[in-house]
Amino acid sequence: MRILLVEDDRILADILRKSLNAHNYIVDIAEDGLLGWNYFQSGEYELVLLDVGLPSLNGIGLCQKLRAAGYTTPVLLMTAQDASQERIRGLDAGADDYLVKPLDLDELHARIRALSRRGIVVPNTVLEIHGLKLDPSSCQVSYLERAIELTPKEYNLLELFLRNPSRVFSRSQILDRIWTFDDSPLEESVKAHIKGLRKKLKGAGVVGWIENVYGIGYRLSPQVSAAKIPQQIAQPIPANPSNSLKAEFNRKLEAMWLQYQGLMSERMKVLHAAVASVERKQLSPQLQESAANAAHKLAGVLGMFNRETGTQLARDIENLLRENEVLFPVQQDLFLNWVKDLKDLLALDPESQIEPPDFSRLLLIAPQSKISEELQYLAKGVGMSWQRCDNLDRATNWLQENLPHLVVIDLDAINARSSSLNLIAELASRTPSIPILVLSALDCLQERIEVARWGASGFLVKPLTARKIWDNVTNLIRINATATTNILVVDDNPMFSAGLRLLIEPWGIRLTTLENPVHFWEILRSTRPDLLILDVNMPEINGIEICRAIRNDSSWQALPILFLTVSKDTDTIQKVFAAGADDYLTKPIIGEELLTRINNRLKRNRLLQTLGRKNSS
Amino acid sequence: MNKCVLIIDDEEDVREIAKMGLEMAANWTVLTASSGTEGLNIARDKQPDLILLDWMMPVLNGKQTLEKLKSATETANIPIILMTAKTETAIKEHLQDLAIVGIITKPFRPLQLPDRIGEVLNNQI
Repeated sequence: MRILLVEDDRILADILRKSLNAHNYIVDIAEDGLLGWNYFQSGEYELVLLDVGLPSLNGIGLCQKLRAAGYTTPVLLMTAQDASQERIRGLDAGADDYLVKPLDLDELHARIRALSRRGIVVPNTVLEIHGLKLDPSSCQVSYLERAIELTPKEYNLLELFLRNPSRVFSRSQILDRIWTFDDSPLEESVKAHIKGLRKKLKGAGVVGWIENVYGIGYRLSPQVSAAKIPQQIAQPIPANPSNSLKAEFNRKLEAMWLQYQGLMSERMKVLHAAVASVERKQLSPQLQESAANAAHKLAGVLGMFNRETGTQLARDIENLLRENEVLFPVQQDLFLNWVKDLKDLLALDPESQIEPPDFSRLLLIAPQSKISEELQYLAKGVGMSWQRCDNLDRATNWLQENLPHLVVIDLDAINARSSSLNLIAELASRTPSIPILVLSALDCLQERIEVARWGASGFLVKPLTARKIWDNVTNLIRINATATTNILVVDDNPMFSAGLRLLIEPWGIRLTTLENPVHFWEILRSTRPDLLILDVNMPEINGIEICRAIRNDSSWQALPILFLTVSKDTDTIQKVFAAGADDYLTKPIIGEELLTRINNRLKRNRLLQTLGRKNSS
Repeated sequence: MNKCVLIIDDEEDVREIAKMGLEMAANWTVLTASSGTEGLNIARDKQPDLILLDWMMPVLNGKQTLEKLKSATETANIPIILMTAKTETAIKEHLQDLAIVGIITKPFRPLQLPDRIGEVLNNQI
């Protein structure tokens, strides 16, 4: 906070300045009233500390002048003990409060704190945003109760951002607010202090909160567990929706980001190898060099993918590794922290690096066989696929991350009968429950009853053909689909679909995702969704064409269709509705809004169906 | 006629993003090469209007590629812009010794790449 002190007593002014500086306030001193007026007009002050008896223009006159000019900046008067008339005149002239000389410094600070929160409704003077706290009374900064040590300038910067969340400050605005006239630095040094602040925040786990607003300046942008949620949903891409080229570019860029996840993780792998060596205290110069090169490459490329924070972190890592031949313990800690931050920020999915994201949604617990291959072939024919696990442990692991439409388990081949039955019971009791088809060599009533009691939905006796199993599978999926809410999503971006899944499935809604609309009709028939979400822009067939085709088919006329679009232009919106859509949402999607819209659509549809039944009866 | 640009960079994603930016924002024809050697061949055969050259490449690095491009008569007159990350200050110090028209710092905004190239070329003249 920047304070203008107008005081002609140099000794007192000096004492006050020291005390205020110690509390991290920035202080300019004017020695007379006119000078005070000049200072005030050219600087950005949040408080004026004003002596009454001043040469050229006295304190009360200056206060009147300020108020007459429309300034509302808080004014704290300093008056002599026996001058009650002065105090009354001062308050009448527009001062906010007064202090009696000789000053009690503690009282002075308390009054400043009180005045600085004027107009802001806060229960106390502590500034806090998502666990990042700044306490002006003790000058302490902490994140999640862990103290962060800042230099006075870094403290001032953070205070400015916390007092004005989401406001963008240019470098010169920052200069005006937290530097005095005497030590006005170059704009470059704002950059240096921002960098220092970022680094210290990062060390405490506050990563990427101070955002570069390209071409404008900086602002506070708290990143709340953004790393865990796919980028597209967590952080809206700063696209200007009216600029369709940019929107189109960003869409392609996200697709590219997915495409090059493997390349990104190759680069991260080198950093992780270096981390492992550092932890074992044996980082070789060669590995350090390779890690620096990997960081260099990441720094060069992440910013192009709209991930500026990533570039910044990678650059810091590179510098750390290049500037220090041997890393001291403190630097080692920094290195470990930064690599971890970078990893969290990029949120590369370790599974997806080995193979494309798995949306197969059918689980086969059985050893590899000719039948399993044929089943895969049959599923692929309708755009589905099987995840096969040859033992229960693998299946259990896979099930922790995935929600299949159906599970087929070969009881005899899986040599763990009681665990298998427990798994069946667990899957059957899930919400939504997962249908389980059991394959068994035992054809007796006893076995059928036992398996059914544990919760299986189907029982087939061996020997079997793949065709027979597949017919039962599709039948069970169809039956199950009518019992739960099903949503079918057609979007060519698998990352987006994965994000939706995270959002929607906890609500007991089953999601089927389709990247390539070629098998759309088969999937539509087999899943019978309660709601369809379509992306407008897809490479082969666009969403509007699909929508039109659906509305042309009498059996699907009542299916609620929700569109996702990156552009808000009226032309697209009109086309969407003309094709028969019920609603549309603009990307990036806000989770709550999407859920509300889905619920509205589903509720409305159920109502219409009930009314329809009443009418026909 | 559209400008034809050759991008020489060993990193596939950098190449593809830069290509996308140039194609979408300026409708330029973009050729790409994943190594210095490949770049030399393409530059000789296709005679691009401009070359964007990555500095840090394995095998034939940016500097060596630059020298070869400049020493071959077929490619000696093609303007070359270096692409580097910020920390490579060593190059900046020797900028005047290098036969390039300028430097573009990575990461760049892909859609603004044509403008950046324009700035670099104008400064040269």
